[in-house]
Amino acid sequence: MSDLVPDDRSDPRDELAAYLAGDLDEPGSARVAARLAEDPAARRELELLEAAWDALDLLPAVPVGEHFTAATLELVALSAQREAQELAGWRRWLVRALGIAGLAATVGLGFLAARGWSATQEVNAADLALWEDLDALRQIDSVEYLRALRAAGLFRGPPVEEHVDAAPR
Amino acid sequence: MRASESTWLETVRHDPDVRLMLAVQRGDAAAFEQLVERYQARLLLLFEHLIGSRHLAEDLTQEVFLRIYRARQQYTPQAKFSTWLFTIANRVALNARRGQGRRRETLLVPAASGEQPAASLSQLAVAKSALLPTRQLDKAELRAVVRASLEVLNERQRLAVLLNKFEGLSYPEIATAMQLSVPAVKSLLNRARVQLREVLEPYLDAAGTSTATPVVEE
Repeated sequence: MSDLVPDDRSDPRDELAAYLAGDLDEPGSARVAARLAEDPAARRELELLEAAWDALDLLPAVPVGEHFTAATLELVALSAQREAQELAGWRRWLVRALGIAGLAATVGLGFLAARGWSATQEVNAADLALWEDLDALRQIDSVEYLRALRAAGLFRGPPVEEHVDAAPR
Repeated sequence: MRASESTWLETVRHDPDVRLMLAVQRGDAAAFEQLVERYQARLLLLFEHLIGSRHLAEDLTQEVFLRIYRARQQYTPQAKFSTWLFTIANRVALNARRGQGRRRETLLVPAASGEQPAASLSQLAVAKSALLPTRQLDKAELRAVVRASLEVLNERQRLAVLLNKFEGLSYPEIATAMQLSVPAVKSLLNRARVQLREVLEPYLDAAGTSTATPVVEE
């Protein structure tokens, strides 16, 4: 029988124990009180239950050893110290990891920036000749005529095909 | 104000140990020392009667304080401090019993050096029956008998009895500490009372009282 749930076949003394502990509701208490008034065996049973419970007061207090408190505090202090050291170690690792990540990010960004600048420079160089002649070129409204002039070597800078290769991607 | 906030305030207001624990949370070492001094003897008594070894009881008591300290940053007072402490104590005891693989015996625990050697309830019963009927057990024998009677209870009954009898925890508080329902705690305690009565009846006099007066320990 589980000691965690009441049983239909529970010991009748269970009700007396519950009465002693003040666990019974009003009807239950009244029922037990009536039984106790009429039944000397029930009264004897109640006395024994109460006496057995009170006998636990005979258990001696457990003395605390002279150095127990100090030993306990020392144990906790050591644990706190280890905790602090682990935390410091973790922080150092984190700072190092962030530092490396930051450095890597800086290098990466620098690389990308340099590459972009370089491409921009190439574009600028390719377009420079065009910008220098822009006013004159605006007077011509035929692409075929422009190509013919180019073929005749009248434009400065690299040929048209090279301009296309240098265009930014 | 929400229910949880009012519970928190009530708990902090009425329980000085909760205030000490909140001070520990803020780094107050003296507050922690006070908690150790207030609860160490109670935990030692609890573990010695639960586990049956003084040496292990000391280790387990220190383990409870260590866990309390480590949990200080997460501590939120939802109930009395003692309820939280004994909830931790119950878990520590369960772990210890699993580790021990302890067999249930009705033997007395060997006490500290200089006290009575271990004896079984049956040996004491035979000794008593062999004596003159009017001979009463002396205090040390009776204490040994009472101590042995606790060993007859199973671990859950024993813990419920110790928390109710010596710590004055209510049924809901015991239920929280032992992670049981309140009806289950009532059932445990009632069964324990009946078993104690059965075991101790031979040592209770005709008037229904024990054969020695309670000793006040200093």
